[in-house]
Amino acid sequence: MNDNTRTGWLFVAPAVVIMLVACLYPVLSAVHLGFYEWSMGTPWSEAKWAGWTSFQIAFTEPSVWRSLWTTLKFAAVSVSAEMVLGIALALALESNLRGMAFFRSLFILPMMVAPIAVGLTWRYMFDAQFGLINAVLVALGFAAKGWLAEESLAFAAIIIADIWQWTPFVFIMVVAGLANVDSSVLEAARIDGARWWTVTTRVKLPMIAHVLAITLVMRLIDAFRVLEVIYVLTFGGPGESTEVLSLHIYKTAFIGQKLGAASAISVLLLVVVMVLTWLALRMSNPMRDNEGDR
Amino acid sequence: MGRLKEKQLLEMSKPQGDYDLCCYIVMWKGEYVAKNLVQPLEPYFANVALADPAYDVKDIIPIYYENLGLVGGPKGYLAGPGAKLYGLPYGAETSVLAYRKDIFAKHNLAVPENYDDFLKILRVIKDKEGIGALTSRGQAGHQCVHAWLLHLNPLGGAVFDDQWRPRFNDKVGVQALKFFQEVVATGPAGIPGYGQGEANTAFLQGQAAMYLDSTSFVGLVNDPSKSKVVGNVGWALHPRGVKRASQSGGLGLTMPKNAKHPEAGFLLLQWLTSKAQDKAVTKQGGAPIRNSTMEDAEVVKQYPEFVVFKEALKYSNPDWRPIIAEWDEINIQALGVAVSEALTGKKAPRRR
Amino acid sequence: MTAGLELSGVTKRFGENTIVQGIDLVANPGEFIVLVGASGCGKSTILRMIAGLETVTEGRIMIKGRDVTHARPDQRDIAMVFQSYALYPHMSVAENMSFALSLTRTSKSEITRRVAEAAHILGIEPLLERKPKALSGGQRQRVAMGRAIVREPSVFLFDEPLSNLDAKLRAQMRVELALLHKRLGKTTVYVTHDQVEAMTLANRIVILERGVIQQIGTPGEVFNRPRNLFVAGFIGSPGMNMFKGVLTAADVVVLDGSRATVRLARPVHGPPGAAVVLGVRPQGLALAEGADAVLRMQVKVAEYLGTETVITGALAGSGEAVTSSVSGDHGGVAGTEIGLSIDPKHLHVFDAESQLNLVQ
Ligand SMILES: Nc1ncnc2c1ncn2[C@@H]1O[C@H](COP(=O)(O)OP(=O)(O)O)[C@@H](O)[C@H]1O
Ligand SMILES: [Mg+2]
Repeated sequence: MNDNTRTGWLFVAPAVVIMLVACLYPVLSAVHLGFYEWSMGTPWSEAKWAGWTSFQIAFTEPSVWRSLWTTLKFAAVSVSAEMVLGIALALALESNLRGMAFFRSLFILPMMVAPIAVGLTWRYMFDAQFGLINAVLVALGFAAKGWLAEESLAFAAIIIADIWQWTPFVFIMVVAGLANVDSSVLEAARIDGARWWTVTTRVKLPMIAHVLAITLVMRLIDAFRVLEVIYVLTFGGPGESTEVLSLHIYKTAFIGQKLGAASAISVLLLVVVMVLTWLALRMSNPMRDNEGDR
Repeated sequence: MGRLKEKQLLEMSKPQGDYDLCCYIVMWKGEYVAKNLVQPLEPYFANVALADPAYDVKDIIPIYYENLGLVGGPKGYLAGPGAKLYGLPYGAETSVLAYRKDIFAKHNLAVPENYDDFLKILRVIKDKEGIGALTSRGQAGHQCVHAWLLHLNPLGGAVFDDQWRPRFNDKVGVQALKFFQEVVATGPAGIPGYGQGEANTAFLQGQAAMYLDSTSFVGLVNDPSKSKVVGNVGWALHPRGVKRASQSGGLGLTMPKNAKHPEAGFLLLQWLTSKAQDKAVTKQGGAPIRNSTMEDAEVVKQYPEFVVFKEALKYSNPDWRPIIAEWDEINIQALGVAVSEALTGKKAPRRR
Repeated sequence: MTAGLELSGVTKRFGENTIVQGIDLVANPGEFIVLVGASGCGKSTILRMIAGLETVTEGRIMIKGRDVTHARPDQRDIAMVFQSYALYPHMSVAENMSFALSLTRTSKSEITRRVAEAAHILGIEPLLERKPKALSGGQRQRVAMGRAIVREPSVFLFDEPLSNLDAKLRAQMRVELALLHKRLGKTTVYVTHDQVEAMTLANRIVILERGVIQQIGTPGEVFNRPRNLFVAGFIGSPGMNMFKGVLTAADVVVLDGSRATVRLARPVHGPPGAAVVLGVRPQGLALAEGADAVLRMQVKVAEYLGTETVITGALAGSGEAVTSSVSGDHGGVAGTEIGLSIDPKHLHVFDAESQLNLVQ
């Protein structure tokens, strides 16, 4: 370490320390809480040391694993659909510069709506009797469906709502990424004989791989934490069919009054999200392009 | 709704609170008392400087008084030696059957008096009128359990027996659940996804011929801006099973221990629940908590159905559900999943 | 012999704006053509029309006798090197160079052979596995050329390929480009705004202004016989001196302001009394005293550049700017008034109105 880097470290040290504390404190306190039995509304002095009990519950309770599995399915289906749709939309609309401003502001709306309102809106839309979705289905000659009344349909419903809310995010990220692509590289590819599909898959998208990776990771993390929309839309039901892990944590903490167990499960969720993030980043390694740089 | 409780718990466990009154759901009363967050009201009523001599506590509908106010009796949440008053009802309710007079007249149907007739008429209405027979809550969690308990009680069942042994899955529990399944099969589409709002809407929009729910529903039914069935709705007692047993529940007002101005809080509470105020609120569409209001000629003229409601209150069961600390968890995470799975047909009701 | 490349009446309009106007140009096979002109004059647009990246509004483009006006870029038998290099950032050097071939039915071994050969020519064999980010500007430039070479096109197109390099590297790459062209012998169209690049590389230079060709000719022709004032001013460094004057006889110009009389080597085609511009290359002005000193100038700066001194200042009488380039070190004249003689060989006379060169 030479003098320059040491000075550099000194300058950034306060920021790094604050970042570490800000990031780690909630995690550590969740882990800490996991070792206690404590109920909201009672003084902390009445908390009882519970050892590993809560973690044992977290890892052996079938409902925890069921909801983890539900979360995985939910995240896999909705995030991949959002990525595909968002990328497709961005590719379709990127050249339409005039329409772009319009679509961009239109698409940004779903993201700005409060999750509770998104849940309520979709609850009306999926209403078996009066919902817009069934009205459209019937108008198209299909049978109306009990969207929130059947397990598989309710699962589809929460995915549809998530896709509606978050495809625009992918769209905007991809559009921003594409805007930074040097158009002469794409022209070089055309001269090299690449047609639209080849240019897109072998040049354009690889060139924004880092944007795609970050988008994917952000969506995955969010999809694993989804709570409010599902809370309002299905409250986890029918049965447990839409009970994602964060909703399960919520119920464990505030309905079951088991804050220790809830903390233990949220540590599990954190670990899963971290592993997935790491995998996603590795897959599309955004740092790879910088290898050997400098 | 769920979030309200978290906020109240946090608020009331602060050294000094920002609220002098707290509006709670009946299920939370035991927990708030156990956690030492709210205070008994008797000392305030005993304080001549504060108490209104014309208040007349006895006039408060006794079942509401017991159900929402008392904590500490032999069974914890019921009246009896040791029970103290921790809150007063403010928006309490019981169950009654709302039905469409026009449809019943059209097909010459009798309003079901007991559960046998009730069960039979579901299919009859569905077949004859082509709309849902009985609308009902059905969403996973407390919504579907609430609806199931409505049937479980008159059929003679309970969640626990007198020795606190679970009995929800006995013969009666299965019978109530099967009845509920028939409600779903003959009801408006989508009941397993219905919260109270959707259940209400189905009836208000004329998609169901009956609705077994709360007395507080009457305000919506009579509001032409929300209801398409104004003037066509009759009210009847919750049908009898082996006995009559209608629900007990709703909201109450209590005083946090950490209240900054407890006297002022009490005065407000006393005023809100006084005879005059109860009548005034009722005339505006609120739910009465006093017998004097239920019997008031002016009020009865405005709400003829109060005659039936008052009768229904005789059968309101304060032990309709166990108001114990674990109830939320049992209600939402255990029964709420199982009942929901029966409604979608994923699992069949059966005895253990 | 069919032309390597032929443009006839090529015009480009973006909406109402005519950016390129009626370009006629025939490049012989193997010829190195340089399009030169100020920034924004339409050079890139012409090149991009040849490449097929821009549609042609009017006119026709032929490559080796084949009409390619409406052909797809990859079907034109051309390769292009971009100013930004336009390398595929996610591909290695080898992948960059083989991308085009991998999209055709070329065999693996053939691809490897051609990439190796191009890499050898350009001296970038050690870089084949690297990503573009790990290359210097000059190396990237070579890879971009390698990518073009591998395709073995009939026509090479370069759009200001050296302008992102520093001066020293630019000079070096210029030489390499010339050698490369010699070696490959392919018809080349090269766009630059740098007239030094144009003069050193071109077989023929095409000088453009506002989308219109001003002159086509060898470097010698455009330097020694500029067709008009624009070409005269654009080519040559330092730029040609321009003095306003009047043609008093077929071979006499009297300058405005200084009233100096300048005798021409040959009579020119112009009516006596016509307003003209006298053009003198800086090399045509020498230090002089007495009768030889036709002009007098007030020197502002005298820069000794090693072999010659570039003297700049104002012409006595008119105040017009003057630049003179004289051999040897004359840094001492700064701030003084000096006399200048004019070498008639370096004189041009332009009609002030038509701007055409009257000497021809
Ligand atoms: N796609 C386009 N739409 C409108 N104008 C354009 C377009 N492309 C280029 N131009 C205009 O055409 C003129 C010539 O551009 P260009 O050929 O790039 O100039 P050069 O390469 O000589 O600097 C410029 O004024 C430029 O603004
Ligand atoms: Mg250009």
